[in-house]
Amino acid sequence: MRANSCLADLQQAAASREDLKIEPFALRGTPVWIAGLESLIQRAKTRYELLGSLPETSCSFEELAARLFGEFVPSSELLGKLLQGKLAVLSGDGTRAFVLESEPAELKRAVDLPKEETIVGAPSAAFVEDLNTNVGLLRHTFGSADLRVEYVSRGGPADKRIALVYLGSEASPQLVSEIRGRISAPYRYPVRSEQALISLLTGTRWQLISPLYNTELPEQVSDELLLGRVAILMDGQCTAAITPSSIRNFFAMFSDKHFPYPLMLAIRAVRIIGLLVALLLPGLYVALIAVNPETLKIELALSLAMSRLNVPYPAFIEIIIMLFIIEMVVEASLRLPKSIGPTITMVGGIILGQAVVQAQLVSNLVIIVLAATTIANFTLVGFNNALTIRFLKYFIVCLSAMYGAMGLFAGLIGFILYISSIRINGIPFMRLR
Amino acid sequence: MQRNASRLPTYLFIVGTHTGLIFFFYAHATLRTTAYAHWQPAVVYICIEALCLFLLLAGLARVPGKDFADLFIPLGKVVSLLLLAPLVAYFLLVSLMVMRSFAELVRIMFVANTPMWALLALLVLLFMFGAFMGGDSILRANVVFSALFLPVLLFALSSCFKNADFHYLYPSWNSSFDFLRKQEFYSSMFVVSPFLVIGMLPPLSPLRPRGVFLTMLPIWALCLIALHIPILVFGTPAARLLVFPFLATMDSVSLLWLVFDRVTLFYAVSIMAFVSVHASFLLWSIGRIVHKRFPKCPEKPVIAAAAVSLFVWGLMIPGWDWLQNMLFWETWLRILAVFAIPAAVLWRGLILSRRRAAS
Repeated sequence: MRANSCLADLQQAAASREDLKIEPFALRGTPVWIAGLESLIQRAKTRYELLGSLPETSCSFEELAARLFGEFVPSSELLGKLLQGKLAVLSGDGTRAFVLESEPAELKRAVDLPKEETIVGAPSAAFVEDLNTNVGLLRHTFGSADLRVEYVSRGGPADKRIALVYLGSEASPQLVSEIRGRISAPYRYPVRSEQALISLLTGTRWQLISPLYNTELPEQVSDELLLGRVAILMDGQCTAAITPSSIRNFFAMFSDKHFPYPLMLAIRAVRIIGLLVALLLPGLYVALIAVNPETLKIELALSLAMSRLNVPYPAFIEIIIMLFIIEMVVEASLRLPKSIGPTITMVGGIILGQAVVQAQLVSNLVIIVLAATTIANFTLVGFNNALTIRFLKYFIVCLSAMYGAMGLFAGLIGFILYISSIRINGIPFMRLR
Repeated sequence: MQRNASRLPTYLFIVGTHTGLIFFFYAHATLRTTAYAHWQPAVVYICIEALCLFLLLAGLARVPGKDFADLFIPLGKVVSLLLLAPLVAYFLLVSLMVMRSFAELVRIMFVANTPMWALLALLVLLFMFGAFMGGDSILRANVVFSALFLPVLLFALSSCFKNADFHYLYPSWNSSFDFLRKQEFYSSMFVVSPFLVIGMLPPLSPLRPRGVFLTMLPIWALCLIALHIPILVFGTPAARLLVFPFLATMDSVSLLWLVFDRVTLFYAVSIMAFVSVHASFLLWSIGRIVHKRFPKCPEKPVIAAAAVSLFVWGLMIPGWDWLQNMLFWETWLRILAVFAIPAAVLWRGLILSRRRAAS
């Protein structure tokens, strides 16, 4: 072994990482080196606390490590520990080193209100980016020794830390071991996103419906865990991904249970109707206007025809143009700064709602259909789920344009057959539990 | 496979496959068998179906978890082929009948200008897609279809009573039983055939014979209702002339408060869901049986081949009259499938259960 290898290795590493600081220090008379990443730790505070936790008498390097709860590590692992935000104390000759917890830099935000899932009359703590905080939130919410936490280390340099959380008494051991196996399996890209998790869990990147249900509410996660599911928490993600998801996640939330049972059923019925409206309404418009106007009452058919009197193109083109504009408005408003958002939405609303109709580029009815579709789409629980329906409605619009009402329902039947065929870790997606 | 699975999807599936045929063919098929007192042939059909179903279930109950292919393949190459080939041919013919007639109905109702190949292509793709998804997916999808479309269908059905005249039920007794001597009676017997799909269910879901019979009771009641609705609205002589008596009856209903001009729309879309369930399951069964009999043939290519042949045959059928002729030609195949297959299942069930008891 090389003499002062720990120190030399760190100095070499510091050459290209200028935030890695190595400085000589004296701990109660013992000369040492301390090393840490100034981007991750508060150096001054850490030094002060280090001195404060030692007695006045001088002591050896080993005694120092024991008193400071230090962990001796070989030179090869030292940099990895420093990247996790730990502080290294090296012996004066630089041959040995131990690491210990340090005062972290303030990079984490405090537990906050949910940003995406606002709920009425329910606890409102939401997950943050830090994995440990998120696991802590779940422990705090659940408060049972039955809650199991497993960290999956994939070992890749860019892979994020992943935690599996489940209830020992509810989740089937087979399911947990299958998820663990799949998540630890090799993957050609670094596992840093939900897409990577989906690919690992399903073995395909082409599934339209996610096997994961995302929520930022610890309370929702605890409800799902009680149903025997597994929550996957990834460092840096402020949502928990629950698997295996089910059709229930399209319309049911735990916070519904804060209302009386009949009202809960009514709320969920609204969301189911929302799903059908979001999926079928644009297609129904095209089918009834372009292919099967005779199925409508004559008065209604005439008034619909009147509203499209000067519109120069077929219903299909009309609705596709407007659907694309709405998609762009939704996409743009997600990314707009909060101060500009309302302005753009208002301008978009006026252009879409008023000017386009006055210019007779589209009919009044299309605006109503679009508004109803967009609103219905956001009654669904979970942004992922809403996105799936947003995407699938285009297939149905195309089928409706070709085959009318028959195409519309063929699309619906195909959609139901498709979601009925999805199995996630062997469990059917189409189930109510 | 799914020991704790609920039996509800299975029962709803039996309802679904029957619904597709009852509201589609049953009235026409039964009306042409005799001049009046149509409840008599209907009751005979029900008795035949009950008897065959009893044979089938008695056989299947003795060998849990086995379908037609599992029961017949151990009989040797020739015998298994002799039993399974007519079954596969029959499944294919029923799919063809259902698909082609539904295309005809849709053409009359919705899309008079769409070419037949385009309609058939959509239907075949839908059935093939369902069959690719697998039997258990079809069962699950059928639960959703039942929740969405059965109430709609029952609404459309009940709306027909608005125009009903109960005097048309008379004369209600035909002492000659002349229908038994008519070939139409035997060629219309495919309306009792949906029970055959039950023979493919055991590997997917456990069957309880009593539950299946209890499920059949409302189905049989619906058969009688579906038969009598056109009679109650148009009278027997007029109803007998109609090609789609049920559709014509629906078309005669006008509800002022409804957005739609006719309730036919609801009828057609509901029927489409159940027809898709039935035909998809038949195609999947064909793939399953062929794959089990010839393990080198994978399921999906067999299903695809069956679907393509459906499309080609569907195009070759020139019209409704030809479809009726086809019903006559395949009478023998039908009688073989409806009677011989359940009897063979019972025979195999008895032998296998005895063998198991002896060992």
